[in-house]
Amino acid sequence: MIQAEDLSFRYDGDWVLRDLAFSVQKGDFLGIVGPNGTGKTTLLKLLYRLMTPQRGRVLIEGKDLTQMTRKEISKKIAVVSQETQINFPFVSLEIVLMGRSPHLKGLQFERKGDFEIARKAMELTDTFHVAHRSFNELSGGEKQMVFIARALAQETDLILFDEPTANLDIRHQVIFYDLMTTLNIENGITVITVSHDINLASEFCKNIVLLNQGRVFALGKPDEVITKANIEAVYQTPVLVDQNPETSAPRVTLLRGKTTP
Amino acid sequence: MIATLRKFLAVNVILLFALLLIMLICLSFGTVRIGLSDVFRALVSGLRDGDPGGGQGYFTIILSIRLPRILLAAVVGGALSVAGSIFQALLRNPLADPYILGVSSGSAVGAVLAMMLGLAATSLGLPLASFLGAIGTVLIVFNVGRMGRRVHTNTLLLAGVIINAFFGAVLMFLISISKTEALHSIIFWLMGDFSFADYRGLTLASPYVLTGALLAYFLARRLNLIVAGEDEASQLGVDVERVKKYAYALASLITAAAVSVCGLIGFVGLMIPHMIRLILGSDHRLLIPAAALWGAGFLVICDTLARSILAPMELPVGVVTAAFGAPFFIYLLKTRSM
Repeated sequence: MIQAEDLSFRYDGDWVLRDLAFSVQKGDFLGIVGPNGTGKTTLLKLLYRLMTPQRGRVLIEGKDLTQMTRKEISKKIAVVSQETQINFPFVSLEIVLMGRSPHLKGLQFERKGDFEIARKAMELTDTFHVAHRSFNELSGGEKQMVFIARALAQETDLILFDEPTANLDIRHQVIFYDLMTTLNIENGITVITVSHDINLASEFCKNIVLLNQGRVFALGKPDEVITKANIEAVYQTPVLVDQNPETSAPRVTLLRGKTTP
Repeated sequence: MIATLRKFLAVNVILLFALLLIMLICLSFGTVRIGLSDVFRALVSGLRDGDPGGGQGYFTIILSIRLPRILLAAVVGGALSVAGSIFQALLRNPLADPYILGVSSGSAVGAVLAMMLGLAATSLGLPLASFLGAIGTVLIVFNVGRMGRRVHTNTLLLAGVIINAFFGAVLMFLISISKTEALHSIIFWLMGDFSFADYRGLTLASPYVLTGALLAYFLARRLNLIVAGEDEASQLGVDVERVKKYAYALASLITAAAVSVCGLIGFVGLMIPHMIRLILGSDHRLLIPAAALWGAGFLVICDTLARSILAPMELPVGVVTAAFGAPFFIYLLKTRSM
């Protein structure tokens, strides 16, 4: 589906990503985890060519991203970022319809089919009842759901999430990850998500990439990656790793007062 | 409001009709009140014979004095409103106006220089000097505010503020050393002045404004996405940097063309897009043409007031737009969070 080949990237100073390589199969649900400043969001931005790596390349379905136009990329990859502020009055449906943009030409207005796709996307994310409400008046959780609906309206096989649950409470975190799972399993959408929360990633993702200092430290199933040795090495913090008694997914618990300086 | 082709057509037909009605009514107002039937007669004969010729006195007033002035006010009003809509979208700030990148101070310096050097007497001197001043300043602001190949909104705004302040000082210097006779026309120019309006000014500004606005309209849907976030717009297939560059260039060109024929008219470019957004929402496919038509009508009304309230004396039209604009924004500030 998507391959990162020896990606190296820096803004101005030091390299943020160094010779980073991995590939994601169609149908995967991949979590990208790692400490702050380790290049998770940067990596995500390279995956949809918001930025271009200085070395290496990204292939989507075997095609080099740099050989594609923005529009071609936007038909293959959708992105849900953290909550963004919009200073102008739009209703939610207008935001979702923006997802049809890659499929429209020039000045074209959305047609019946586009409205139908937007409606389905909003029903799937349980936001159809706020379709005509002002987007800015929605709660943080509702806004994120509207952004997922927009990504769905884009009709891509791959959706990237950038710390989507960063501002959400635990109830909305679970709703969110449940929805991602549904999209992954029932709609066959490949999901890649950057996550701050190791336990959420461990619980929901099929595979996990653990980044450390711009490199892949470990890659595999949650129980292969989320181990006491890996987490302590990467985060420099003593933790307890056991299993969720219900799902037997690995579970990380913090230990107080023993952090190595 | 969700934009559809039907709404687009309905809105524009209604506003176009309203604009024509406003222009017609405003033709009858002025120092001399001329009945609507005589206005019609003058227009019909003007259309048929091309030239008012030796017809009755009101023919000349309508066709040679009021009509070009009203048409020019319409073109300028539309231009400022379109440019305002575009700048607000690009800067993602509903309080941006067409002068934000220095068009105002640059064109003012150009115009005042032309007046002082006596170039304003020649038919092209004033508009050309102010146009060059405006475009030159925008280019400076743009190059100061640019970081490599990307244009950052905040740096650009700061560059605009700095350059505006500097040229403001240059302007004050020029005014303080200029002769008293020139002061009256300088002040009128700085507040917007249609009293010199004729068909020449109209033919000078209209091509730039109309082509610019038309080209800018082709960016409308992409501007929607940019307003909702630049990274998101890229992700949705928009070449953000390119669209921004074109849009800045077109909006500045439109503003410069408008300013060069009538001076600085405040509040129109700021207020009209706001009014339209309150009613039609933020979709630029509806907003841009609606703002153009309503801005045109609005400025025609303001200019008619400017020349009739204290007739035979005239007010600078900027005084009238400010009289509407300031209360409007106080109202917005108090009733809703912008």
